[in-house]
Order: sequence, then structure tokens, then C-alpha cells
Amino acid sequence: MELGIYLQDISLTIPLMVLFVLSLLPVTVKIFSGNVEQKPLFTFLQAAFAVILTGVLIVLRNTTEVVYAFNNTIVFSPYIKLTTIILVLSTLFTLFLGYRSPSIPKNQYSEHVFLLLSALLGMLVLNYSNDLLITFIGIELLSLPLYVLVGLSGNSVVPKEASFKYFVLGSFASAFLLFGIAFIFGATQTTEITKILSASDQVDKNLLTIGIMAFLVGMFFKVALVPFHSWLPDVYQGSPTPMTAFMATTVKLVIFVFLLGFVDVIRLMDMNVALYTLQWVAILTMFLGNMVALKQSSLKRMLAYSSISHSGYLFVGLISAVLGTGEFSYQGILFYLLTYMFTIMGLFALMCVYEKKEGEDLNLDTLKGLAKDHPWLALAMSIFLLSLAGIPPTGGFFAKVFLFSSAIQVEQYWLVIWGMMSSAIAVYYYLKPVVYMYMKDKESSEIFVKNESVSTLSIVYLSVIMVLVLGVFSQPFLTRILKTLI
Amino acid sequence: MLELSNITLGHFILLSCVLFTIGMVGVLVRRNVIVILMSIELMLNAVNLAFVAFSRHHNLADGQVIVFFVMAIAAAEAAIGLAIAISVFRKFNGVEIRLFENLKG
Amino acid sequence: MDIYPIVFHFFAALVTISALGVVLMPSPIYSALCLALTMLFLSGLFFILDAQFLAAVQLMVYAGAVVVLFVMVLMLFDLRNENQPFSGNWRVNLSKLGVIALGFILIALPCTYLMKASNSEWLQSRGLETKKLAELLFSKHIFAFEVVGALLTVVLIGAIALAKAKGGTHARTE
Repeated sequence: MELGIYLQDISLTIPLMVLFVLSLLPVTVKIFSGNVEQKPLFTFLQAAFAVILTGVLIVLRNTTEVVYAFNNTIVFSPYIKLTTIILVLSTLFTLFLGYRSPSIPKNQYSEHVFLLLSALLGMLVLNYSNDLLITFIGIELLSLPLYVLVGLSGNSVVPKEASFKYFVLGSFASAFLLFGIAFIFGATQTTEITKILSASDQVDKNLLTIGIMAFLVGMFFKVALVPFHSWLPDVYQGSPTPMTAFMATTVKLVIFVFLLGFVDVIRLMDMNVALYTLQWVAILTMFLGNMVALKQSSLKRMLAYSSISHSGYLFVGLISAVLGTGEFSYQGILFYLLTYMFTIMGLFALMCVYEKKEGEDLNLDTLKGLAKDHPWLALAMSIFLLSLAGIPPTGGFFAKVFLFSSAIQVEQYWLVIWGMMSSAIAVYYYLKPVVYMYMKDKESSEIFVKNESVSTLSIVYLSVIMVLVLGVFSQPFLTRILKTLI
Repeated sequence: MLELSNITLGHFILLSCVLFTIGMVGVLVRRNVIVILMSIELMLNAVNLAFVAFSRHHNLADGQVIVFFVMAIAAAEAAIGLAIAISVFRKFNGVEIRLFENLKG
Repeated sequence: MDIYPIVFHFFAALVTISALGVVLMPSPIYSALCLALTMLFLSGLFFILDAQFLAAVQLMVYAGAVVVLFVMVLMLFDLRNENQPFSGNWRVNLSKLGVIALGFILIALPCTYLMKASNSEWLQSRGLETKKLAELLFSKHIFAFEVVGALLTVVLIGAIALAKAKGGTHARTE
């Protein structure tokens, strides 16, 4: 066989190797010092250094065109570079949130850091993949540490139950993914995505459609689209707040980014049958997420359901990417993901600020009268909630505008109408906390206790600034995204 | 409809689908968590069978390589699942899902 | 008379029966033993599909390691009070089964026409499968190989961190 490993392949994967080796550093130090944890600050600095070094190595790689490596199983392009940087940033923020968080056990912080960086490694592998086998391995490398991370808690049983539920349904989804890959392999005799696209004339259409549909069902589980959403509220509510932030931002991001790269393959399906299904999934997701969120009083659970509805909006963008041929929908989805990441990261950072003990859930009642005690934090929370609701001038408004206009461009008018209606419903429960904070008075006379952790607060303020910047100055970001797509 | 004396690709794929469905039923219906994990392993094995059958049909070794990786990953997943089950149910005496009362909904 | 169909139907019937045993047996230890049987017969199916290396690996990894792991974990728990092995509500179960049956029919439809392709020379042994497998594994899929190595390290540390937390299995019960 004429296949070999070239220097270019190794240079493309140096960031991954560096990340893996450096992620083992805190655990190795712990082993050699007799199972005694280092000071958390050192572990945190080592982990942050690993993530930043990986990001720098990826940025330094000059690429203006699509590059394939390792016998066409890996691909790198400006689009992948941009999305990878967003993922690295997001993981860095989660590291900040997790530092000295009360919901992460102190004597297992090294393992926590290692698993988080391994999840990042899995996301990078998933992003770089050009072969469905590498995709599957990337998804497992992303999911398995996450199952453990969700369950790693001190005394409380609730995170462990959430971890188990997440594990069962996540493995179920992986089995579906694999089933889809098997049928795609059976139809096209290959698992490389580029080869699948070029071999699509003389293949067995039925097998290929079934394979792609099963693969998509597996992916829908991972981003919790209806009817595969039942795990999300329980898992988000039960897991430690930094981990909820991680799951809500990065996992959703990487799966949607992968699906965006996969739309060429999705187009190979029999569109007459499949389009109906996809449209129904989008509509049901948007509505169910918003409807059930109306009744929630726990803030974390409300955010979990709202996360489901945002997956629905993103899925509308994905449908328009499948149907259209321009870059407008890609731009829309990436901009939406960027805004969404900052908003959700900031919101969960705020919840970490108020989490004094493990497992304390921020309720709507406890928010009453927050504005008098901590005005800046209340303002930050209001800005995040307005961005989620899609109210100008926050980033969320423009993101929704771009997404829906890309859907209009492919003539999916009904999807846009349903989307706007469910957004209007959502405004109610997004504004309820704002009202509680500003207009209601405190029930008891105790002062609000907040975590004086610098790392978490800095994430809050950074996210607020970014959400406003993305709203007011959205054009430079859009052109930057567009440059990578051409 | 079911041809019995001439074994083709369809027979193997049908068998794989049957095993996959049995595994799915096991995950959704059983209450003992270890049996649920075993049903997931059954699903993954059904997919392995499909891969090997397709690989034989196209006369490629690619499918078998994929099965190799899937076996490794499935074993790893079983290990993590059992670790999670141990950590959840260490305090309880039985391993049944009805004890998931803290997380409702 | 061609022996291949007989062997196939033998293994296929036994695999299906033991898979049903995994799912339907009330006691979890019986389910584990049925799982071991399923792996055994699946290995037989791999043999007749001319994937001898995979058949051997299937026996070693699954029947020899994974099922043993399951049985070990089952031994840690008290299995005497095994009341209600199936989820109670039979209406919900029936609707779930209905949906699954529908999905199964949809997926199995292509198999009917796949069965009409009538030549059976695809099953004849071409030889040297293990060598081809090894060549592909270390040339084309080398990246996947390395990443799975990283995955196994992650699983090692993750599983120990979870199972060891707060004392481990030998902890004194509070």
C-alpha cells in the first residue's frame, strides 16, 4: 500500500499531542506525590497553560486552503481553524468556572482537569475528522469524560444519578450513530466523507438514506432535539454548574459545527421524505422547549429547557444550510453559536457566583430584590436574558435575525413563522427573572451571599462585554466568518 | 419472502437489525441498570455484525478495522458505565431504576 | 448439499434466542450468562464470514473480559430482592414496543430486496484476511489507533476516579 505518514500530518496534529501530554501533567504530579493534590492554583495554571498553548499552536498554523492529512482521514481548513478556536476559548472559560467551585471535590481536582482537557481533545478530533470512524472516536472521546465529569461530586447523590442517566442515553445514541455509519459503509464502501460525496451516483439509495437518518438520530440525541430530549433537563439540573455550562455551550457547538460540515452528505438523502421529518423536529423542539420552560421555577431547569429551544432554532439554520447552497446560513449558524456561547457561559458563571454550597439551586424566589444588593450583577443577568430572548441591542437579536433570514432565503416561511411565535412566547419566561430582580422586594432580610471568586466574576464581565459587542458591532465578525468559508 | 437456502447479505443485515431491536427493547423496558448496560453492549455487537457482513460483501478490510475499534470503545464504555453504576448504587442495596426518585421528569 | 445455510441458520437462531434471553430473563446473573452465550455465537458468525481474527478477538474481549466485568459488578450487589424486573406500566411498554416495531420494519425493508441477489460466491474465502486487516490498521487508520489509545487512558483514570471516590467499594458504610 502506498499509504504513509508525512511530516505534514504530524505537524497538523501537534496541538492535539501537546494537549494530551500536558493534560496528564497534574495527574502525574499527583501520583508521584503520594496521592496528595497540588495546590489548586498550580493545577489550574497548568491546565490553563495547556489550553492556551493548544490554541496558540492552532492559530499559528497558517492555512489558506483545505488540507488533508493521515491518508485523508483528517482535514484542516480556515473554517475548522475558526471553530476550533471558539471551542478552545469555551473550554478555557469552563476551566475558570471550575476553579475553586464548591461543586467540584477538592481532592479530585486533578482528575477533573484531566477529564476536561480530554473532552477538549475529543472535540478537536471530532472537528478535524474527515472519516466517519474518526468522528465516532471523537464523539466517544468527548462523551466518556463528560459522563465521569458530571458524576464527579462530593457527597451528593444527585450528580451521580444525572451522570448515569446521561450515560445510558448517550451510549444509546452512540449505538445509533454506529448503526448509521455501518449502513453508510455498506452503501458506499467507504467511510471517508469526501469519498462518500463523490461516490454517490451508483450507490444503493435506500441503504444510504437509512444510514444517514440513523446517524442523524444519534446526533439529535446529543443535542437533545425532540423527541430525544428527555435526558437534558435532569442531567443539566443534576450536574455541577461548571459542567452544565460546558455541556450547554461546547458540546452543542461542536455537534452543530460538525453537522454544518456534514450537510453535503445530508443532501444525499431522499429529500422528499426526509425534509418533512426534519421540519417537524425543528418545530416541535422550539415549541416544547419554550412551553415547558414557562412552568419552571428553578433557574437551572428553566435554562435547560431554553437550551432545548435554542437547539431548535439552530436546527432551523441547519435545515436552511441543507436546502440552500450559499454561505449565508453557515454564517448565521456560526454567529448564533458564538453569541450563544458567550451568553450561556456568562449566565452559568453568574449562577456559579451565587452557589455557595454544592447543589444549591438558584430559584426565582431567591432572585427577588437582587438589584438592590448587587446592581452590576443584576444588570449582567438582565443583559444575558435579553440576549437569549432576542431583544436588541444584544447579540442574540442579530443572531436570530441572521438565522431566520437565512431560512427565508430558502423559502422555509412556515419554519420562520413558527420560530418567531415561539420566540415571542419565550420572552415571558426570560423577562420573569428580570422583573423579580428589579421590581420585587426581598423576602427575608439576609444579604445575598456571593462567591468572591475572581475567576468566575471575570468570566461574567467578559461575557457581558462580548454579548454587547457582538450585538452592536456584528458586521466585522460576520465578514471574518465569511472569509473562512470561501 | 425469506429465502432459506441461499444466504445473501440481506440475511446478515436482517439478523443485525433483529439483534439491534432486541437490544433497544432491553434498554427501554428493563429496570435493572446492569441489564440495561448489557443491552447496550448487545446493540453495539449487532452493529459489529453488520460491519463484518458489509465488509465481506464488498471484499474490503475496512469494515473489519472499524469493528476492531468499536470493540475497544465498547469495552471502554462498559467499564465507565459500570464505574458509574457502582458509584451511584454503593449506598443502595439494589440496582433498580425506581430508586431514581431525586431526578424526576 | 451446501452446509453453509445450515451453519448460518444454526448460529442465527441461537444468537437470537440468547439475545432474547439477555433481555427477558428476570435474574440479572442469567442475563449475563446469556450475554456470554450471545458473544459466543456471534463469534461463530464472524468465523463463517471469514473474519477469523475478529472472531478470536470477540471471544477474548467480550466473552472473556466484558462479561466477566459485568458479573463481577453484579456480585457486589445484593440480588435477593429482585422484585419487578420490568418497568411497570404495561401500556407505556406496549407503545414503546409499537414504535420500535415500526422502526424495525422500516429499516428491515431493504433487507428483503438484498436477499434476492442470488449469487453466493461472496461468501467464499479469499484468504489472508488478518494480513489485510493489519496492513490497513497501521497505515490508513493509524490516527484512529493513536486516539483510541488516548481514549483508553482517559477511561482508566475516569473509571478509577469515579469508583474510588469517597472510599471505594471497601468503605465502611456510614
